[in-house]
Amino acid sequence: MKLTVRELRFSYKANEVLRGLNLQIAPDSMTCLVGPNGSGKSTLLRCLDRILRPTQGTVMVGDDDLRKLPLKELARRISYVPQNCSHNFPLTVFEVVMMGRKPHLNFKVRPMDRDVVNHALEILGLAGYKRRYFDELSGGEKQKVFLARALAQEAPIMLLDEPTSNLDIHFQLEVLELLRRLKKLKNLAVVIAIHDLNLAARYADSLLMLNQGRIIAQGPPYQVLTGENIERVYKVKAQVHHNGYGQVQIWPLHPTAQATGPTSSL
Amino acid sequence: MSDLAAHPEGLAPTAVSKVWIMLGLGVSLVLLVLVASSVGTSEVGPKTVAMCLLGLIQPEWSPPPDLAKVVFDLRLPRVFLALVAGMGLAMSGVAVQGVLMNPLVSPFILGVAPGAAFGAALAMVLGVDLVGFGHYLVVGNAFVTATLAMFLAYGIAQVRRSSRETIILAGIAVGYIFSALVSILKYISTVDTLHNLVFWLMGSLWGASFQSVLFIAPLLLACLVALLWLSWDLNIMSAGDEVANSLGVRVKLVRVSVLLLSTLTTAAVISFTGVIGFVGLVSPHMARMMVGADHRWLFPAACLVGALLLLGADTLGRVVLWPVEVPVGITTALIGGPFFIYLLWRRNRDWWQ
Repeated sequence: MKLTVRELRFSYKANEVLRGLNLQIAPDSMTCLVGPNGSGKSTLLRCLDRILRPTQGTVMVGDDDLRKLPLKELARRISYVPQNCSHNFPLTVFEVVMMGRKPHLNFKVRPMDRDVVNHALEILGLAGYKRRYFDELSGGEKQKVFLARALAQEAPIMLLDEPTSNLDIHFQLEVLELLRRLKKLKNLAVVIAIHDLNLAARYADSLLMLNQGRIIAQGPPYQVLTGENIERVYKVKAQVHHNGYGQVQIWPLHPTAQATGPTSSL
Repeated sequence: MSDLAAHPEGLAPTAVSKVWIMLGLGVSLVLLVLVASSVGTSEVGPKTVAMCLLGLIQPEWSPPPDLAKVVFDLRLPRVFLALVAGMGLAMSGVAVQGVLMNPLVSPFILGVAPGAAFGAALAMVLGVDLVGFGHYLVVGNAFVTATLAMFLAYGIAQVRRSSRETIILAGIAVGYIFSALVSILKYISTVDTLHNLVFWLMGSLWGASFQSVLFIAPLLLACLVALLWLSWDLNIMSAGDEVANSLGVRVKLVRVSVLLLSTLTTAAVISFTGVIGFVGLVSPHMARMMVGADHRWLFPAACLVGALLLLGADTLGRVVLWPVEVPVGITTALIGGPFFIYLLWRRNRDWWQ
């Protein structure tokens, strides 16, 4: 399912966070949103899942206007994995992943729902965790449980806010490898807000660089992650290495000036 | 409770063991009902009670009418009121804790307890009748003012964006206001009415009748069905509003309806019984320790635990200082408190954060 964004604007009171974004996200693609803190990455994700209501512009989910989709239908089309998520009361891994079936069920859990959940747990290598308590898992395992939940939701579009930010390098790679596999397997349109430019460069099919609510550059990683773009957006001098196969690696050297935060820029 | 130890470390009970736990609770409750309706001041024992119950099917087995009268007019109404009250408070406790994501709140969170107390005090001290229920003057008043407190607290929270914390704080504020009003009425009341009022505030089941059960039971049942229907939403809401929203849960609608439905049930219960605290706060935790935090299991389990706790406490209160009766509000805390502390010691994990 395609996601099309036209002239999207969003303001928190007088503070305009998104300033007219246009983008398109295709199935079987992994798009990484990069940009400094406060550039609007998380806000964009939230607008795409209607957690926030855009002040202007349209978002088309498939052929339908985001604003007009019933909540349940929206949940069948878009899954969202937030940055921080904990549960107040201890639920088991199975119960947490079963939540992903919510858009498809009312009270009764059908055998089919169990199958979908078991399948999702298996794909993510969590089959042995079913009856473990979610709050006893490590950060990386929790993140995988969230992926399983999003997968159980069976939505063609998956949005993730900083899925690797609290993980060690093993889980960072594991989570992104899994996402890449899921994308292929289920023909998903995956959108990830991410800080780590090297991870983004390595896994993204296309990058979207945001700064102060505007798209600075979009396209394949080697086009977006240039020395000039990085210096302009992050105020950081960086070396960019091309490996000759279309892949790039960033080596940040030093900050060039005081970084402009989200508020000082307004 | 022995099932708790049987779980392998770090693993949740399976559905099968949850069913066994529920069965165990159910059987204990049936036994307790029989015990509770057999003990008391007159010499109506288990045999008479059994005869009464059998007499419903086979009239010739009925005991003499004067003994049957004790069972049907005194014992059973009280037992059933304890059941519905315990269930109602425990169920509301689960609902309110779930929807406000807070393990410390009780179903009284919207100020219903002081609200109900104010209505009761108005009736007792000033003889004010808010609804014209006549015989049920205190009950009617308590229910009206408890509901008023509930809407007031929720309304105040609603004026600003109704975050969970705002709702809790608004409830506390409204509760304090009504408590102050109750204190005024206590201050100006005579010694006799003060005594009655204090007794009512402790909570007791001695005024039980089948009418009170018939008033609470439908509300309880409707509320329970609605809550069970919403149990997935409640599970999901423990992950926070954003996640719930993205999984298709109408967070605000669920929160309002669950909060108001369960508080209304609580108001109905405490209008008849007086303020019985503790059951609504602690039964959800006890149930959670037994069957986990999935609301589909938690609601029925908490209902059973609440009923057991309240009926057990009331029965003990009737016999422990015989012939003097100890109000159930006192015995629930005296029995439930140590038992809860015992569970806290024994648990192998944290059940809330």
